[in-house]
Amino acid sequence: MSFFRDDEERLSAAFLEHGYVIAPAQDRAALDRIREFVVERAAAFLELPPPADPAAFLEGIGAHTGDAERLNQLRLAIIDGLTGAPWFREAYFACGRSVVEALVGNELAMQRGIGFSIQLPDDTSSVLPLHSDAWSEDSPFEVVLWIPLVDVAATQSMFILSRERDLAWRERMHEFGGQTVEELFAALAPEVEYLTVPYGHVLCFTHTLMHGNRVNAEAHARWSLNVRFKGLFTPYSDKKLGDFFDPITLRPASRIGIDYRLPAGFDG
Amino acid sequence: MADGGYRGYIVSRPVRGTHFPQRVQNLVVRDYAQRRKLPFRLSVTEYAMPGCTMMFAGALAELEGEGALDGIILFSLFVLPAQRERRLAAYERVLTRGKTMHAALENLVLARPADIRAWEDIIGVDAVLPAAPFGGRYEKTATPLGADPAALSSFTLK
Repeated sequence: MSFFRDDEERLSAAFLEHGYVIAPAQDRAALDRIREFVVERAAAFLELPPPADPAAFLEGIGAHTGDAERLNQLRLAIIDGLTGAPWFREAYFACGRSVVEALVGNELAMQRGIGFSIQLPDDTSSVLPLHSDAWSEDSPFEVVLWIPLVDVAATQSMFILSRERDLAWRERMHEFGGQTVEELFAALAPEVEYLTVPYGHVLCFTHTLMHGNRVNAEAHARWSLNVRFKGLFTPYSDKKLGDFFDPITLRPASRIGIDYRLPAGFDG
Repeated sequence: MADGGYRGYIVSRPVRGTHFPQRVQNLVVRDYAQRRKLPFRLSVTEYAMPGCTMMFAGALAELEGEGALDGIILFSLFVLPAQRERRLAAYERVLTRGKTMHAALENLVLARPADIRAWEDIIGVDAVLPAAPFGGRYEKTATPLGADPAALSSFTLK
């Protein structure tokens, strides 16, 4: 007997097997609004007219950005814009709400900031080495909702190890204790999967799995956003409730429970 | 006499179980004020006695009268009084005078009544986390189930 709906069962099974799921954005209008905002910000920052083809504009942004410093300024301008937009977090959650709720729960904490990436073709400065977020400040109870603003595949996308292979490599990781992360990556590279995520879809993955990205050897730039979610009442690591996460769907029963005090004053 | 500005408020007690040196607390508060372009007034330091909020009461009193403060910058949301009623009274005192209260570590502002819920939700959930699985804290110095790897592998979802 299962208390989950069929769609939740399917998502859960896929997530437990692979460590990730890719699904159509639940609220496509919200995703389009986010991309439109990013495109407008980018065009304004670069003093370009609004583009007729947003996807082509984003994919070919390298023709306009100049040096690495200018690219970084563009990144920061967009992050500032998104974090300052009062509708953004709600829109972001709406893109993957049902997936996150099925995999994590419906009483959630959401990362207060955002991760944002522009990875130009052949840009060696944007490589994110192999890692698991659980090895640093993150709790393994978190998931990442990762949303590309363009179609991504191969090295334009991120790579990840499956749950099965991640477990196997974790058990062997101590063998690389005196070596570099690049040497570890070289050893397991044949087993990683580069995820194909078309625009209009969201990727939800457990960052406990080893993942990262390589130099983008494809023709187009990658644009992606990522935000972490976790069960509100699941264990936190160094990214704590309040400074890194905040409650977004605290339910009424929990509010009552938190505030409830038993009758007091008995002296027996 | 305060003569406007924002008073820092740091503590001599652990915050969420961690003891932050006062020098570090001051760095966080000053950096917050600088980033927000808030005129900073030297921090007051709460006494170490558990439950004591005398210095906080003093900072709240400085929100009134001639040359009153514009607001208070707390080192953290979690230096507020433990009793909810006292926190609510402090929020009200700040807001009814048109002032603001800031939590530097969490980068939060209390500027209107609607902000109270966000502050209280975080404090309330944090208060019950010790009753959540693993005590609400995922320790990485050892496996959550102790040092026995067999115990951990039996817990791992297949």
